[in-house]
Amino acid sequence: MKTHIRISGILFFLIVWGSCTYTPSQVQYSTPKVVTKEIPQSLKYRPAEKKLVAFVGMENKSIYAADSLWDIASRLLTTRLVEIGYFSVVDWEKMKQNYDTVSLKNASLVSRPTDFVTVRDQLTCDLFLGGAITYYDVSQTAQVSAISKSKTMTTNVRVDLWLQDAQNGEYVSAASGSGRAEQQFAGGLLGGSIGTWDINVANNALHIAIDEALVKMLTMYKERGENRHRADSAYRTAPPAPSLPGQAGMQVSSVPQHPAYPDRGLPVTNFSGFRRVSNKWGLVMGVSRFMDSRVNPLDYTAKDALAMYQYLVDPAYGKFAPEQVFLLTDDRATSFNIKLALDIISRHALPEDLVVIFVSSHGTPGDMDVEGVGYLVTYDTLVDSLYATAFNMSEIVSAVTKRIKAQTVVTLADACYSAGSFRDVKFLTVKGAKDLIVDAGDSPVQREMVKASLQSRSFGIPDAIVRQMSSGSGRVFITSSRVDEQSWESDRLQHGFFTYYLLEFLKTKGEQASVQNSFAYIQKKIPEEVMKEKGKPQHPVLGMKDVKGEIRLDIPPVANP
Amino acid sequence: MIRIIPFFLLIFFHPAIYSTGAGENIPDSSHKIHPGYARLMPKVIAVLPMDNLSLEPDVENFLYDEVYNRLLSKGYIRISVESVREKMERLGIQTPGQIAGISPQKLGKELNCDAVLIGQIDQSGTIHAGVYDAVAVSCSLGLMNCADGELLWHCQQWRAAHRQWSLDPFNAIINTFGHENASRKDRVAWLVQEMMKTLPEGPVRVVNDDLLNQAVEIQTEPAK
Repeated sequence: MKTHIRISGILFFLIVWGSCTYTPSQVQYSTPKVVTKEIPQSLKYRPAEKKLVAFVGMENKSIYAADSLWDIASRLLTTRLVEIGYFSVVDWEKMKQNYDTVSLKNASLVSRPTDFVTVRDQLTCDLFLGGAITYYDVSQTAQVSAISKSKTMTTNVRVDLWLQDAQNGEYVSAASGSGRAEQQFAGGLLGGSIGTWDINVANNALHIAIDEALVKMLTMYKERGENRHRADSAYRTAPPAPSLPGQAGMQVSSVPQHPAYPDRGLPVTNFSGFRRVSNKWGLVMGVSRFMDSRVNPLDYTAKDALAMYQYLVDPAYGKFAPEQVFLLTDDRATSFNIKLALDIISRHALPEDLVVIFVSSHGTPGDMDVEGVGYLVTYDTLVDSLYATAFNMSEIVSAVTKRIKAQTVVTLADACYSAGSFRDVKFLTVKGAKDLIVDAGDSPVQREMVKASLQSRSFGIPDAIVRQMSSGSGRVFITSSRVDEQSWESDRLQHGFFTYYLLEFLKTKGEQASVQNSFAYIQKKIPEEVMKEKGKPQHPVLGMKDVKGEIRLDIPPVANP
Repeated sequence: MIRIIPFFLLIFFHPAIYSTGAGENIPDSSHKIHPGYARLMPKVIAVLPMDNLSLEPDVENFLYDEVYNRLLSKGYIRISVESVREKMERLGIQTPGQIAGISPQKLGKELNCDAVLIGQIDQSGTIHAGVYDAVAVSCSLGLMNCADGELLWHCQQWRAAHRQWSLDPFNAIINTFGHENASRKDRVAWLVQEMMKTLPEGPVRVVNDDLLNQAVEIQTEPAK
């Protein structure tokens, strides 16, 4: 009996052992997976008259320079937009047929005012939609033990979208979405699967990110109301008239209406008919209040801009023709309007002209930008998509150094980045993002990273801008503080220190009031006053190259013959 | 009882007979050369990071090193490893699979080369079938013309090594674990040596046999 049991045992062992057969794991190929997502209830109500949206491209700003990523994302986005059904959508293939691929690839089809109007008129669309892939990261983890092996490949993608009113160029909504896709391969004694990173799986992450961004963007658009910007008359009310100390009697009842302004913003249809009347040009921009409630308001920036405007157009001081000074404060200071004003000056200013540009608002740090120049926060900047809706400082640099042909261009910038610019928003540059700021999430570790990141950042206008802005002949660039300092406002002065003392000198020194002398004055005065009142350092910086003689802003204008 | 023992032995041996056949039915080697290779022959080649489909870590690095080291003796100028690494970083390639998303023209322009050599570890693992144990490694290489994306040369090699038959189950278990730790580097090196034999000779002629000092490496354009 015992012998039988032993033999049976041995035979059983042999059977089991013999049955343990395995060969190396098989390659696992994937097929494109259909990501089906429910359309939120809130978006199921569709307006009777759908607005027509033209998708103007998807820029790939992630580190992954894949050739067709922008097109894949664009197709996924337009398809999903049609599925949601809230808008009518211009066919993406038609867009590719009719417009320059490079513009669609860079989402820059409507970035220039002239193109904006042309495309809008050609497509008769109500809104422009654009976006960017701002983050694309692939990571791999592996585990190996005596009896099993596994590896996981994870793709994380982030997409930013923006929606722009095709009538006035204002950004009406923006949002970002994140997507994640995982591939798992494992093998052991009983077989398994092997494989590698697969674009089809990664595209699922893209699909999820696009869907999330679209839903958030449409929800924001709906909540704000399609006619929000028309109905919101409160923003149109002019800020209270400012008065500089020593000018107590000077009161202005409302923001001067620029002859070219229709009701709001600049005329986007008739800028080509603009006529040069003299040899002096100004662009004065100051933002105190912002459309996105998460951007902290500033107290005196719009007031500073208005004071600068008044100085320039005053026949006793600046002597600029009001028609050629573009004042953009608060809700008029949209990214589009700034572009438009720069475009008008670039087109019409002649080589013998003088151009003064004054900007006063929040900025974002230059080290977050691939070119090191950062962004200027405009009225319609939405913190969910700074890249799309804030004004890229490199555009001002490009306009000043390349596009504006005027012999002399003086740029005065009273903008600094501060960690307190935004409320309840966390930013961080991370692996996978080339130049953008990414919401870092809520975990304690991430909060610490954000804190450390913010503390290490510089506050002032980056040195790169100062260098670039003053690189051309006749280019002068004065910034309110050094790169590692903040610029301060004063409740006592009811202005920013920079603007107040600059105007004080320009107004009181008569023939001595050149730009160079003004800088010599504020260079000494501002650090003393700021240290006295705020106990902090603030040193204005001057960048200047190949400037012949003294530059005077109050020189008499020469009328256009 | 004795009569049925052969039946059980058959069960015991059958998987081995079957599996050894299955594993080795794959041809050991296959290669393909573009008919116009002589006309399209590249001079400067960039060896791109190799992919690894298997679950065994680092085998792709053995493949890369072997290919890179042997390429020179075939008469091709190669782009330095550092340059390739730098360009891959600039293109955002975090895993070799992502290279497929970059056009050959763009790769050629970035790397300043005529062709790129791509490759992957298709398989690296152990085979066990009853009394039979082996290590199996297979890999493939391809040479792609940057101008038009044409595959100029492709080669695949499969090899089972450390083949062992053991009736003793306990010895077989030891073999199994032994194979897990067996060197893949030697296997990969042998496969690369065999594959490179099928790559046509390149246009660069080495005039003396001082190969060690003949190392020709070029750097691509410095980053702007």
